[in-house]
Amino acid sequence: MKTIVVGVDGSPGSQVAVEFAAREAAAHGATLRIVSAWEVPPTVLSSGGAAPDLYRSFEDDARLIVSDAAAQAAALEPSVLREERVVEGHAGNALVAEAESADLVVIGRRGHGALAEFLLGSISHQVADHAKCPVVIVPPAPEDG
Amino acid sequence: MESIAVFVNGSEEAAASLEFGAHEAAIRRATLRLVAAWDVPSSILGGGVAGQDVYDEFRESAEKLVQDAMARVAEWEPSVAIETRVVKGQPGPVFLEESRDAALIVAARKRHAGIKELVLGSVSKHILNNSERPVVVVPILPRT
Repeated sequence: MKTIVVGVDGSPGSQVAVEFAAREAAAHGATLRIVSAWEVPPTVLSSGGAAPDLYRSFEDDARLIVSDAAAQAAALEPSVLREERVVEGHAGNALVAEAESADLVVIGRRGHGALAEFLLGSISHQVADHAKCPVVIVPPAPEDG
Repeated sequence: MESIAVFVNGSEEAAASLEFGAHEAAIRRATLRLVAAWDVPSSILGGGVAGQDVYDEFRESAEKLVQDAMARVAEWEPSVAIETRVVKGQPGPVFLEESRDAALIVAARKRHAGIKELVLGSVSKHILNNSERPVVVVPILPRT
């Protein structure tokens, strides 16, 4: 494996995914590509369009999420080479596209229950169903107690 | 030692999972756990009870699949330690139970009759929706 992609959104679930991906990259001697996708929600767009500032703030948030994840990976596995990427678009589509040039994609899964399954359906299932490379879905860390 | 769990059922997608799991186990120095589920189909039982020989036949068939899988792993990655679990029951629940402490569970997308897309099989879906361990979904595609 040469390139391992991890999708991040700043949630606790994506921190667990970063940990898994960093360890995996270290084991394989692979580069870790940290990807976050951002988009202005359709509800905002349909209410008359978004100001340039709004786009800028979404993109800035995504950059911050990616650099936080890179810092987390660096702390866990300092020897792993890292790439940071911010993509405009739907997270599922972005990760399927990233999979074209990756050997493994790692994403977090949200919690349990019907809502979790619904959410899993929206992004994790899309990536697991369509990516050209193997996809790891990492469940949330077990709750304390 | 951590283990990597792979479900064995003789299918094309299980073969893809097996190969991925074998290489991953070699790199991580993990034990590869091969899991197979077997049961006597209700269509055979027909509401009655089957003889012991029928049960033996289905169990032995699952054991044979696991032995074949072991032989393939030994060819690809001779250094990998293997453990096996051949369990009576439904594939999804058996695999979920037997992979509860695995560091990684390997599932696969299978070819869907009639369409080009690969889809998650019912065992993979059961694992993906219920497992508390990381699950890797391996596509069946030519490797580059």
